[in-house]
Amino acid sequence: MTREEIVKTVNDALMKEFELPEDKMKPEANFFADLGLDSLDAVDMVIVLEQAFKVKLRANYQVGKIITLNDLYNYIEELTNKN
Amino acid sequence: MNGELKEKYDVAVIGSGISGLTSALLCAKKGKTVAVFEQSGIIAPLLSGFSRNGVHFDTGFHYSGVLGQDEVGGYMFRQLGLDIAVEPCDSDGYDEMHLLSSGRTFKMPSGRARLEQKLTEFFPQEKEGIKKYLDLTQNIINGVPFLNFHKKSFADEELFRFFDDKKTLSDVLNEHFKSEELKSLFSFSSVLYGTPPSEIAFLLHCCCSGIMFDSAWKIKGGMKVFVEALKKALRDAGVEIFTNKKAQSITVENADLKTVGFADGSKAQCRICISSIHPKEFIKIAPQESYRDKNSQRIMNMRETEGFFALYGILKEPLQSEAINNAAFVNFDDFKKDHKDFMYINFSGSRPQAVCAVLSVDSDEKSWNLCEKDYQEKKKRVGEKIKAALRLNWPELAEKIIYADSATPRTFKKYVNYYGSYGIMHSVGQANILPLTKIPGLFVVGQAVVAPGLVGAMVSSFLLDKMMQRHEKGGQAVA
Ligand SMILES: Cc1cc2nc3c(=O)[nH]c(=O)nc-3n(C[C@H](O)[C@H](O)[C@H](O)COP(=O)(O)OP(=O)(O)OC[C@H]3O[C@@H](n4cnc5c(N)ncnc54)[C@H](O)[C@@H]3O)c2cc1C
Repeated sequence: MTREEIVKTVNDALMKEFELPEDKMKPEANFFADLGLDSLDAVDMVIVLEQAFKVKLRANYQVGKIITLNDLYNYIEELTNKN
Repeated sequence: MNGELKEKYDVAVIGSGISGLTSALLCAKKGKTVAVFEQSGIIAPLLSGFSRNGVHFDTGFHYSGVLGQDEVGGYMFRQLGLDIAVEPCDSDGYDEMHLLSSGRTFKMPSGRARLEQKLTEFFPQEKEGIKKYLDLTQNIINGVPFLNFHKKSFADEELFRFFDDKKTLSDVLNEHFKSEELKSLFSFSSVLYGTPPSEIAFLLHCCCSGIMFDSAWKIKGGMKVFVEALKKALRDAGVEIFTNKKAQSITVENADLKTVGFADGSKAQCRICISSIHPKEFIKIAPQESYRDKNSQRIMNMRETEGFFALYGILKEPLQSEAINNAAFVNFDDFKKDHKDFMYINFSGSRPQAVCAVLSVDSDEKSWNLCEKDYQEKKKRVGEKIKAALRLNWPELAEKIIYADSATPRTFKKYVNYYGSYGIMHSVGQANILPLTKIPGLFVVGQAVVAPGLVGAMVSSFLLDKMMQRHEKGGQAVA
């Protein structure tokens, strides 16, 4: 998958699940402060991303460092390239 | 004792537990007008305790880590202007563990070096694991934002971790140790948060229990003194407190106006509303838009911590080992059984000594919301079970105690409006609740947000305060 495809898939999945407007989906957007998502929402986020990318996100220590959308793109890029 | 309700407050706080009162003080210090509404007949019902035959019994607090001057607890007391003196529990053994399987008694000493040495004496084959385990605990405590926010600045999302650590206490103990007795000894302190070792996040265990390895503190003079100090600070800050006021609805009129409706038909208006009650009770009274539907559902499905059945008594004369703070019976297979039916006993520092023997019981509403006759029978039955266990495992104590009263999960429900000892569980796979809702100016604090315990509940209010301040500075419409 190219970076562009990853960005689009992530954004589409999150916008649909959390009813987020497109103009908020900037790479530097912080999940918590900018997108208004919380730790309860994180559970759904993991589920929709796993479905969209057919990868397992759970039980991976690195996810703790994901704070912005860009962190998430990087993380998924790394994961999908490994597979 | 209730005064007149004002027409409108800047801040209405629902619930007068330690988190609600902490939030009230923090807001009042910024010049806001604040009112607190409590459903029970007394302020801070969980911490206030009660008296029988002239002896005071503490209920919701006995001891905790990190209350020292330089630690987060001492910092928070100072910030709130609370004039509270703390003193260390017996540093030779704040917890006295009766290891029933091997007939030994292990007294938990304060201080990392002494603890490591003593554990190694008791469990020489586990020397390496003990060192690693204590190091790991220490590292977590030194780094975790919620115990260190007074020393270092953290971003909001670090304070409330977005993704959670998935390791349980059981995982970590199994990684480090072979001895079941040692695992049971270390995991006994799950009584401090009411979630079984196989389900509690190791990080949370460290933050509630591991914090006592350094030193365990109690409040000088007991919780009566603590609550008096709280009341004085609230009076000085001009906070109005209303008891027997059960909130039963929150409505949002517009961005700057919310109405809280009470069971007695009265209403209070406010700009900001902070709920410190059990999250499931909050969902019942909050506007539907407070959370996404899925998340409301998630909160309603959250599991409740174990219930407590407490038997209170007075010692006719002191025990031989006089300086005792807390004691517990530990079987080698308690860890494997997730400490089901654990029992611990707390001793007050006053004379005559007040004793509180606690047994963990089911916290399901169905188990306790019984007809009066069944309830009284059950209460008697469980009380007898505790007495029998004391006679069997600690004859000296059984002989010296005069029983004064008991409390069941139904008693707790009356005073704090939930059955489980610590409200909802903090298990892995069950995310913490955040202080922000989807409605600007509607917030949540309390033991469900960060961690159970006096410190955890207070920290939730401090973190909310930080978030409100930042957002007010940044001009965002959170508060
Ligand atoms: C037996 C026992 C022993 C404990 N020992 C220790 C200890 O040794 N060390 C330690 O650190 N912690 C201990 N704890 C835990 C600690 O007491 C709690 O975690 C902490 O006090 C919780 O504070 P809180 O503000 O979150 O909740 P609470 O104190 O429960 O406050 C919530 C308040 O909201 C009120 N309320 C509920 N619904 C409504 C409504 N609809 N309208 C108005 N008011 C409402 C309740 O009556 C209650 O007063 C113990 C707890 C128990 C039960």
